[in-house]
Amino acid sequence: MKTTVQEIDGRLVAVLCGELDTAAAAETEAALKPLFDSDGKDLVLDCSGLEYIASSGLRILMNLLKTARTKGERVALKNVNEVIRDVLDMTGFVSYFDFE
Amino acid sequence: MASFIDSIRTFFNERKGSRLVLILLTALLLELVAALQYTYTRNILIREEERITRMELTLESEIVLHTLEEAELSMYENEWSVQQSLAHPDSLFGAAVRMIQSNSSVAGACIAVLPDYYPSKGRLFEPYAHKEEGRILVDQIAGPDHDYTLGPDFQRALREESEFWSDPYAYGTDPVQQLTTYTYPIRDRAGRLAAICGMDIDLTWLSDTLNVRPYYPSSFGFMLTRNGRLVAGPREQRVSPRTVEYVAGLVMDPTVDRTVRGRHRVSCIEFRDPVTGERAYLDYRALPRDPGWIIAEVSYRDEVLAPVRRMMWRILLMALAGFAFLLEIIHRFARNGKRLWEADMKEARIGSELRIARRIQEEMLPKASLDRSDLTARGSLTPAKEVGGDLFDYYIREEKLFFCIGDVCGKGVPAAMVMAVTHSILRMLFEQEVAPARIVTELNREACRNNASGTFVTLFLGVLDLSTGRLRYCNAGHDRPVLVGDSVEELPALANVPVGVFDDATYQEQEAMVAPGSLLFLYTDGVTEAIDAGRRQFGRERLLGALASCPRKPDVLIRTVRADVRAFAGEAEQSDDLTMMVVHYHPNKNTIG
Repeated sequence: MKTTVQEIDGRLVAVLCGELDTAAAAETEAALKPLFDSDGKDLVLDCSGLEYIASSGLRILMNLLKTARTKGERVALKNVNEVIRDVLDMTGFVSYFDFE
Repeated sequence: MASFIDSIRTFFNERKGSRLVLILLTALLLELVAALQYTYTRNILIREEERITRMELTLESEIVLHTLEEAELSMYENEWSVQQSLAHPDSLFGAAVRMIQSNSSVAGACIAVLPDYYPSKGRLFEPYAHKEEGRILVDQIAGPDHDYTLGPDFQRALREESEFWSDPYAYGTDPVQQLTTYTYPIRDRAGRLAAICGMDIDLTWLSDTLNVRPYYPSSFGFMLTRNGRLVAGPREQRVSPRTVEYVAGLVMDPTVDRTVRGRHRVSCIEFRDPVTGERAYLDYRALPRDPGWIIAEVSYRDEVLAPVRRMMWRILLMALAGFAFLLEIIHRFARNGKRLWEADMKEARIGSELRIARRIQEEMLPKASLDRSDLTARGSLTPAKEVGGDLFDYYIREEKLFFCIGDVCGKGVPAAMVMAVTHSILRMLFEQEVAPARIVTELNREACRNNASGTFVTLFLGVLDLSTGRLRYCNAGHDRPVLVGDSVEELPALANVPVGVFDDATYQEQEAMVAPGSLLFLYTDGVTEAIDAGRRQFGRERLLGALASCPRKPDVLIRTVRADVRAFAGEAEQSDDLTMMVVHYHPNKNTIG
């Protein structure tokens, strides 16, 4: 699982690659710290390379969402694949993210 | 080095007894082997010394004996010549010369005529010839200051009337010669004792012969008369005269312990050099015939054992290497042991954590199945190695079945605890509320309080009115249950957000009618997300397929799905709890109101 963060057009973009399972959860959460610490910038999670997300991965998204909401930031998910879209549908998270 | 000491210490700390014994035994064995080798080799070397010494002494004896025998032979050959010359006294000078000429080791020859044998010559007459600077000189040496009749050899010859060898003696000043005289009585034709011949044999060469090229560098040889007087020995520069005197004394001292070996009767004495204090061996042998001189050899223990001493260093080094090797093995063994031990400890700790989590989980699950005339409920939770935090529950109050199935995100003790709390709250809410939406909302509010870790729970909650078959339900992000009747269909359920995410989340409830005889199959994602060796998921399709072709009985449904999942997973390890619950609604026609 590889996570990179950069700023593009005033938004913090995190690129997620691989499988976000329980094993990768801790290091991914750490890698996403800049997004958790962002002040007012909107957040983008590029999921083009994200193959799979487990409940521990959802937990990270959820925490990110909660943190962003308190700061009024929007969180967008980019290029989510079908499997992940399905999970988001099922868990009801789908309505809380913007999709690009 | 520190880890080395550490592991040795660990080694000794664990199972002290047997391992310590093992080390000690091995070390002992090594030392024993080394000691045996040393002793064995030492004995070989000592035996070799004995053998060499015996050989040398025998050789030297032979040389001396040969010299003596040759002289005797010469004397015997000259006897006739001397006898012939007796008739003419002056021809005795020639006889004496011939005696010298007959044998190169003859240094001098004298013919001491019996007193008054030749009236013309007076009382004493002793022709004498000797070698000097390559020439032979003759002289008549009897005189007022040389009365040979007083000489012990002359008297002894007269007395015994047989030949003998005298003890060697020093003769001359520069150079000093070591001579020995073969005394031989001569009879005239009438058989009367006429003269005593003396043949002087030069034994000066003997000292060097006994001491040339010794086998052991510091060894030396010497010869003694039967009375212990030194007649041949090492040069003063090489061996201290004190030492030589001492060993000569040892030979003659009857109180000194000695061992006698072999058919050549070589005697051996162990002693300490009085000058250097070194331990040494003295071997000696007496000539087996007259004059019975004693030929001896001294060799020093250190030189005899030098090879084994050299070898000992090598053996010691090898033993040390062996011991170091042993320690290294122990080190590795202990290091592995330590690692294994730590791994064991870790596993035990994890094991106890798992046990706690599982106990919590077990406590939360319904104790028994529900078996009523109108309803059967069964639940099954097959925990994964690491407890997953699934839960299910069913509870009847006022002819309503409250049931739920949930999945706490996370694993281990934390997930189990959240599950336990969730279960408690639900049970409480089951008592107070009947509307699923309100129950879930309340639960969510509680769950969001103090939820810093962001642990959420997906949940499906239903309330089935047993008298009507009306099902009210609320899904909070959980997998949709399957309604198994004539057909197999997923229950249409909205995906509200899971419990514990947003404290202001709203939950919508839905309704459905459960036809009599149908079953509601609930599960967690441990079923659909079970993977095989190729990391493929079991999936909803397979689940629906399995349910479709199954007899409509709760036990069978659960068993079948579990078996199918197991078969699909194959070798792959179960990564999440396998949780299933079946509600079978089969009211009597009489109870439908």
